[in-house]
Amino acid sequence: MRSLHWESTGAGDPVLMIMGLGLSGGAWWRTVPVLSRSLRVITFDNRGVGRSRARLHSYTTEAMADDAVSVLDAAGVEQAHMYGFSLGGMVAQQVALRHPGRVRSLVLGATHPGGPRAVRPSSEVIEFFRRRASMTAKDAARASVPFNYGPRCRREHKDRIAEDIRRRLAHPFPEQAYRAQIVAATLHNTYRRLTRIEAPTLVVHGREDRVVPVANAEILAERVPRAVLRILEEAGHLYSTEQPEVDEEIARFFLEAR
Amino acid sequence: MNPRVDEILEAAVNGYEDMIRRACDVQRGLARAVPYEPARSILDTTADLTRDIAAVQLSGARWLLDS
Repeated sequence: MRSLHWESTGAGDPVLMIMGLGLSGGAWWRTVPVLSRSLRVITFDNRGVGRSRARLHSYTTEAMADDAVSVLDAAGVEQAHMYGFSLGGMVAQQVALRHPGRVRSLVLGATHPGGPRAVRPSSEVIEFFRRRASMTAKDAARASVPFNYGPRCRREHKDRIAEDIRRRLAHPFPEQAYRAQIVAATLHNTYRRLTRIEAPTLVVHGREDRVVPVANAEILAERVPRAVLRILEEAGHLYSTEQPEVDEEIARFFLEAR
Repeated sequence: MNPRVDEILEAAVNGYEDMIRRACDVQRGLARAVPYEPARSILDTTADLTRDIAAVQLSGARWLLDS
C-alpha cells in the first residue's frame, strides 16, 4: 500500500509544501521556520522518497497531486495555500487543476508547464540529470552544485551549499524513485489548462536557473490569469539557499492572498 | 492547425479526461464500499492505474495539440 509521511509545524492558515526532484520534505528546512511563524506549514515526502512508500513505481504529476490532496485529508485541512518547488511546482499546478477547491493560493517556484512549449535546459544539464541517476548520493550532490546554484552563491555562500548537501545526504533517495520522478516530470503537460487556474498565484524564479530556464516562469505568469511574476536576480535553481529573504516575501503573499 | 479543428480536438481530450476521472471516482467509491481485502486494494490499484495510463495518453495528446 502507499503511505505518505507528513509533518505539520506552526499554527494559522495551512500551507502545503510540495518538494521537487530527488528531495524529501525535509529539504524545506530553510523555509519552514520562516513560514511557520505565521502559518501552519505541512511538509511531506513524495511517494517513494524518504519515509513515504509507493505501491506502483510509475509516477505522474497527476498521481503526485492526488497524493498531496490525501495529505491535506489526513491533516484535516479542507483548503490550503500551496507552495510547489521545481517538480513540486508541476504537482502544485495539477492540484490546482484537479482539485481547485482545495487551493487557496499558489506559489510556483522554479518550475515549468511541460509540453513542447516549455523551454528546455541545455543539453549539458539534461545529460547531467541522466548520469545522476547512476551516481552515489554523495557524488550526485557534489556534481549538481554548478547546476543548482548561481555563480554568486557558489562564490559567496559555500557554507550554505555545504549545509544543503549535508542535509540532503541525511535523507537517502532510492534510484528507482528518482527515475520515476524524472518520468513524471517528462510527461507533465499543463500548458493549455493553465488558464483555468483561478487561485492567486506567485511565480518565483532565479534569473540564472540552469535546471529550469527562467523563460518558463514568464510562460507560467502569462498563462495563469491571476499570476504575479517575481524574478530573483543572480539566483539559480535553489533560490531559497541563495536568497533566503524570499521566504519572507512568500509568507506575506500567503497571508495577503484572498 | 485550423483553430476550429484544434478547438474540437481539445474538447475531445478534455471530455476523455472527465470520463477517466469519473471512472476513477466510481472505482474508488467501490473500493471504499467493499469491506473485504484484497478486493478493496485491487479496486484502489485499478483506479490508480486507470488514472496513470490516461495521464500518459492525455499528455501525449496535448503534446501533439501544442506542437
